[in-house]
Amino acid sequence: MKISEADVEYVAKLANLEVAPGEKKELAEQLSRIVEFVDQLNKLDVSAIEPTAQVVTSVKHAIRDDRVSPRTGSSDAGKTVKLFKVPKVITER
Amino acid sequence: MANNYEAVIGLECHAQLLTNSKLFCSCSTRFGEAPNMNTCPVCLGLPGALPVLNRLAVSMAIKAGLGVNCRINPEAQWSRKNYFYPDLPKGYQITQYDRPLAQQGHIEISVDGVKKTVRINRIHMEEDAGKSLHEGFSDSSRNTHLDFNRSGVPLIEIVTEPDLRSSAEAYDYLSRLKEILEYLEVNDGNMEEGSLRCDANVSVRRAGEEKFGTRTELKNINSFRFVQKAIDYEVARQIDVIETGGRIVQETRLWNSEEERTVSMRSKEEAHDYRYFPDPDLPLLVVDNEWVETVRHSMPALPEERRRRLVQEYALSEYDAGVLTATRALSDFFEETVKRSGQPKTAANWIMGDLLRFYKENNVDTKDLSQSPVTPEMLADMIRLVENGTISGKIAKTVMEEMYKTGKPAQEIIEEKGLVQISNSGEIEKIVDKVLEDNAKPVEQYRAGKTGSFGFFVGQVMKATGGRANPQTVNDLLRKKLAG
Repeated sequence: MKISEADVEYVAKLANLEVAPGEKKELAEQLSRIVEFVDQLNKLDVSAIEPTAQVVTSVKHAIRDDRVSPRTGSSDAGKTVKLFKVPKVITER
Repeated sequence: MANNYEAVIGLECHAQLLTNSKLFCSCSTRFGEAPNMNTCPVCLGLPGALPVLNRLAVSMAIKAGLGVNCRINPEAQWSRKNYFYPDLPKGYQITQYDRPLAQQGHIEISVDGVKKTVRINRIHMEEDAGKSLHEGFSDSSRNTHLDFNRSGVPLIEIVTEPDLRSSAEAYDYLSRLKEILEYLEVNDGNMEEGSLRCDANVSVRRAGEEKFGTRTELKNINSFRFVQKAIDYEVARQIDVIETGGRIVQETRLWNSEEERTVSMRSKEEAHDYRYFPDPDLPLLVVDNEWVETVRHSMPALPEERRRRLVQEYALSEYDAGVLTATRALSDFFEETVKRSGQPKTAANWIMGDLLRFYKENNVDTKDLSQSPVTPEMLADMIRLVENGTISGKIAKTVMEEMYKTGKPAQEIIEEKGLVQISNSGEIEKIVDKVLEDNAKPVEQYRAGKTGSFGFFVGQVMKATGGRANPQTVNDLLRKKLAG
């Protein structure tokens, strides 16, 4: 699969990355090579294999009870920074 | 609908689950805590922190699913929804995408007596984001402040099919959904505080048209009464656009409650490509049959079912049944009173006539009656005292009021205030004689045919006994003596 410069632009935007115009061509080539490498997997016959999303499939119930940890209400974040600050987010009105 | 247009509406509702801790960490979900006190590396999205699922949140989501007649999928998958916003510290929200927990449910609604089934497409679980504070700080012109106490609080999103055809239907759907979630005790139904939020997908088409029109998504409908207004406004706007030769643009619009209109949310180059993919930090959510059945057995009767029972078993009117099942607490109160007194009709009258008035006067929310000064047991006892003739129905009114004020049982109030009914006919007879003697003139007139004054004599006897005389005995004696 070939990655175009337009693809690079789009992916960069989604990833919140700035890409200098001069870098686009090189990145497109590099990304193409990476995707082509992964494409090798398409040559395998996986029709008899169940799709998996995790490496560890033996874990069925990594689950906890609904208990509040005693540390809660005492977060270091709450004690020291109170509120986080970021540059003004433009409100969508 | 104007000019033969038909509205097509689908709703997406987010409901906060009433767990104590967050979806993927042990931080408290308590509302109103100092900013960022209920946070940890997981809900602050710090690198390396790993999520661990809250079992109760899943049980509540299953309960909600069963409550709206959904199929619970044996396997659900957690996905990452990727987007950048400061109140989402990880850069992705953990949600369920192509494999949600519950699917294919429905809710029955009724508008102007017309019943209709609204299909539910799916219910999926996800985590809430933090809260952005845009205003109110000295540096608000330059900075946005962030509070992550809400980050990671468990939510379910309930998505309907585009089955709704009017704002009235949307309102009724929402009322029923809210009621079901409250009955199940999985959500507190508070739209104003944001624990129940609702977005509406709205389009219009000419009557008879099969194809859907282009839809807009309405957000920021943060109050129950705005649901209808926002949809009505948007439907009228869309019809107007089409009628004047324009085209509907697929976009997100915000409801502005002050101006009572929807406004386009200018997409500031925001790409709607969330690049969902399975979250590798979380295993599949496996829900076996046993889990579903355990949840099913813990479920109370739902409002619709209770209303039916009240009408069929207790012979109450549809209206009364509706009032008495308005909240689960009230419905439980009524059922408990009936169980103890065996008098559904009388219990309904006392609750609807007196108790609800007291609650209203004292601003008691009938969602929680655990602090009610009158308990079902006390009401049932009082009903019994009326039934066995200890007190009259009229005196019972006073007793009821006193019970509410003092929280004392009826028996104690009756003894304290000497309110026991006088049923001894000898005692009543003396009083009747005295009344007739004192009112010689009316008696004469009565005997001359002016029988309409009978109530006057009853009133005099009641006055003389402080309302304690057995009314039947008073009537009988008066009739006999006046006949003379």
